[in-house]
Amino acid sequence: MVEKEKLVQDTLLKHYESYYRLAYSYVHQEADALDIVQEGAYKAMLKADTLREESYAGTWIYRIMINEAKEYLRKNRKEYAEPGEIPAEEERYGDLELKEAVDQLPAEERELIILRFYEDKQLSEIAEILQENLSTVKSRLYRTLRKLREELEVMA
Amino acid sequence: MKDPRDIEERLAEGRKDYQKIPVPEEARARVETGIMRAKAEKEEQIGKGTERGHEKPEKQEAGGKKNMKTNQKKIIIFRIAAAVAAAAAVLVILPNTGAVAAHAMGSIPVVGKLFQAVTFRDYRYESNRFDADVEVPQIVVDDMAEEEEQTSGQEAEKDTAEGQKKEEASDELQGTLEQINFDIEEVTNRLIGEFQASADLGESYGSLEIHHETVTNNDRYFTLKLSIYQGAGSGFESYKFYTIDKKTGKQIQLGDLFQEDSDYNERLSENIKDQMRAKMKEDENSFYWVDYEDVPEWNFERLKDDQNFYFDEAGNIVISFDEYEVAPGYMGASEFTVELEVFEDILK
Repeated sequence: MVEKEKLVQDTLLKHYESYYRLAYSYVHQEADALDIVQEGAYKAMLKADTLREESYAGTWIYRIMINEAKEYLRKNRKEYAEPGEIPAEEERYGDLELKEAVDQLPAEERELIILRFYEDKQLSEIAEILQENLSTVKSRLYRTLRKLREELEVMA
Repeated sequence: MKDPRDIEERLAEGRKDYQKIPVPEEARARVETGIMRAKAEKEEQIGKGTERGHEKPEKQEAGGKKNMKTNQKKIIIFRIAAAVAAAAAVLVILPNTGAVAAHAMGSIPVVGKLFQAVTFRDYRYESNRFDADVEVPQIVVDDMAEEEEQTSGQEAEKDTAEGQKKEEASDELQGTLEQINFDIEEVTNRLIGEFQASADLGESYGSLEIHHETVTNNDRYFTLKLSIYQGAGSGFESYKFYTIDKKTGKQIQLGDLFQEDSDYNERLSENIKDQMRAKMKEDENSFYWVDYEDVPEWNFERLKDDQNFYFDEAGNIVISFDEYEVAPGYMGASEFTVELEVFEDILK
């Protein structure tokens, strides 16, 4: 039990930047993303004993962070601009077309893209994080890629 | 102009942009705060668990090093005595009645004692980034037995069995008070110690507030509520409730109120779940972990054996949940009132 707690703590401290970026990709606000990672870290530590296998710690914490971010959005949805509408100053660099297209995706499609391409997760890990079965994740990802491709065609 | 790259290639490139999302310096500190808060809370629960195994603090204290602690406790008791003397004059003015008097029924061995929480120690601290405002209460009982006998002499003569019961309850009460006051001292000392340590280090910032309130004081029960607020980044509020059954002189937990083998937990828990659902329906900003499919293991299922509770003036039970216990942090701590009629027939 104590070992699990230690493992969760180490994982949190090692990957906190990833969790922050992930949270940020949901809320696009620094203060909110900070709240989310703090809250997520708190919950992960508190529930560390319920972690089934130590090898799951990584995906499990992602799941907690994502749930926390969604919860935050659900609670504050009125206060947020439509995704992609007002990108913060520091986001205006790189492949803006792509960013816009990704930001306009519904949350459940966007998180797939972020996890697969930006967080470099395997499909099986994504399935674990999102608590979906592998084939659902696969088909949803391909559908999303097709959608993005079409979207970018139109934008070009 | 059309980007010639395939979407997967573009996304793989997009990773670099994503990695450029600046991570504020504060992020690590905030993660650490979350970790510390969870640890502090867990430690407190472990502490609760072990203490409860002992009837009185003396029993866990044998041997040289621990004797010091006993001495400390003696000093505390001595100071309580002084506090009682100081408070007694005020106490007489306050009548010890409550709306739940109807529940008290007939013979109450510990009748005539006045229960009161007095602030026994203050701790304050203020600097640029640290502040503390702590009141450490102790429960004191002023024995009004003599006056009681004068005013209703016949009651004392009712029978000797009752007199003996009364004495037992008195002894029991003495032990209960020592236990509770010792526990309050220990909890507050630990929190003050932690606060002092981080203030001495001077890193980041923090605050500590501890206040107390007598939430129930009727003919049958006395409940002291301790509110603890620990702030560092975002704050964390928690509560501790101490309930004494004046009839037996014992400290009681929720389950002690009900008949053996009764379904009190199911009744109360289901009632609370219904209230949660109703609140969420009523106000879309309310959220409780009930029927929550994303992480089913967070759902509120049933009350803990040592669930915080107290009686309101109408005799309803108020269940108190700490922050994060049944809802996300933004909901704060929450209370649910379960009406008397839900459980009246299974009360002891």
